[in-house]
Amino acid sequence: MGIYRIVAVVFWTLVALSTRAEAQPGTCGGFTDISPGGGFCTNVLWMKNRGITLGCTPTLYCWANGVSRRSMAAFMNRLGNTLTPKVFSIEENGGVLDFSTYHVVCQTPELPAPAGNYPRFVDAEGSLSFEVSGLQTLIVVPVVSKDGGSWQAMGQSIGPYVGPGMRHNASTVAPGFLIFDGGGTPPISLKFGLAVSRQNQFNQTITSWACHLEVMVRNGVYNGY
Amino acid sequence: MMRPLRALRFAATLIGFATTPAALSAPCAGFTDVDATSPFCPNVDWLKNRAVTLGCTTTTLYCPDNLVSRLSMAAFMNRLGVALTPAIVYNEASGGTFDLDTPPAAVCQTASIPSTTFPRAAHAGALLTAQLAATPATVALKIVQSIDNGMTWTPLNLVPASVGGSAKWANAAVWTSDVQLAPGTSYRFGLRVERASGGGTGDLTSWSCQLRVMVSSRTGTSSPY
Repeated sequence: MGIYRIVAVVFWTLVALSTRAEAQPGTCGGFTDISPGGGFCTNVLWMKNRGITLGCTPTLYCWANGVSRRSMAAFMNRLGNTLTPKVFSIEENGGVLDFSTYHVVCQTPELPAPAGNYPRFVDAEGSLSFEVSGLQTLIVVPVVSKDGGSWQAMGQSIGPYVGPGMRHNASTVAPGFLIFDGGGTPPISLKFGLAVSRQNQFNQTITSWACHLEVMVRNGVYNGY
Repeated sequence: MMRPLRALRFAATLIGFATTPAALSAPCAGFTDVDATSPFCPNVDWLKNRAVTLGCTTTTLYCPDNLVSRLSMAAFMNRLGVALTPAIVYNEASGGTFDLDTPPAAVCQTASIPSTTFPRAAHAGALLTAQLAATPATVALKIVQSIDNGMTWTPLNLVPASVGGSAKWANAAVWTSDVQLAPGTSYRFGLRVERASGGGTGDLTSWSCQLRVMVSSRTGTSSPY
């Protein structure tokens, strides 16, 4: 046996031994060639959930394959799209608002459920310029609806105590609201707005108002995914 | 019998023929080895415009079938991270008497935000704190942008934030919608402070403003993506 053949046998034996360590039973997110307990399973699942790569076949990740520059361009482009925040904003104005019930102004259209099985965080900023007929305490807070009907507060409310004869401005920020934890059923659609309500004893009306709401949806990492 | 070295050369020649790019209908983003009709062309164009890679051996070759070394991967991921990291531009200013009938085109003007080869989005927010004179006045706030280095300014808010009264301190906030920045254009942002329609006759006796603009990557629907 020549020296080159001996070297080749030793080399391929080492390769076989090293790859056997990765080929554990069980699957990582459906990939049979990735060990669920391995250190890379989290990374592979993170990529799969965001649609960056779904594998070389539905059940194989082909972890030892090289990456061509062509494939790299696709992966990095998809990663860039995933990490680029999406922003929705709306402006609106109107006349009299009474406070027999709360109002949701600056409502966005219903936004389709985000694709991909991964968490998103939503940051919202809103402002309301308004004039009241008398003394009043208002609560202004960004809200979200996952069913097109019921509203859920996204942040802490702002309650300006205001009086007549002035034009007022109330601003509110809701940072980092988790919209989807990646493990459940995604909402059918999302709708955002700015809730305006009376806080306590006063019963005045808003005589005119204008609002602005901006909602930024961004990629989130939650429990590692 | 063919000697090993000659066999290697022969194989290399065959590989060379096999990988020689066929005649393309049109180059993709200036790369003669990627066809403009390839489904990967938008991905390659996206990467090039963000300077993640400008080609392989020359600026006219992308080498789509080459594998990526870990060394190159570090450079690519570093550049991708830089391209995706938002940039914040901030400015603040203050002053004394402010005539609302002859306001400056913009206060809190930012420095010029240089152009890029790829689309971006900007989100601006501004605050005004002002003392109103004894004569009633209502102040309107709009965020404005300039694409000619401050010669002319264009309002970005359809509905201005407004605040008013007399002999009081007032604080108002306003945000823009998702402002799309075109490749190849430089931008400046500022805050326009003026009298609201029907906003009395008083002025400001002192004021201060803050303006914050976040600029981030955006993916377009066509080249340069």
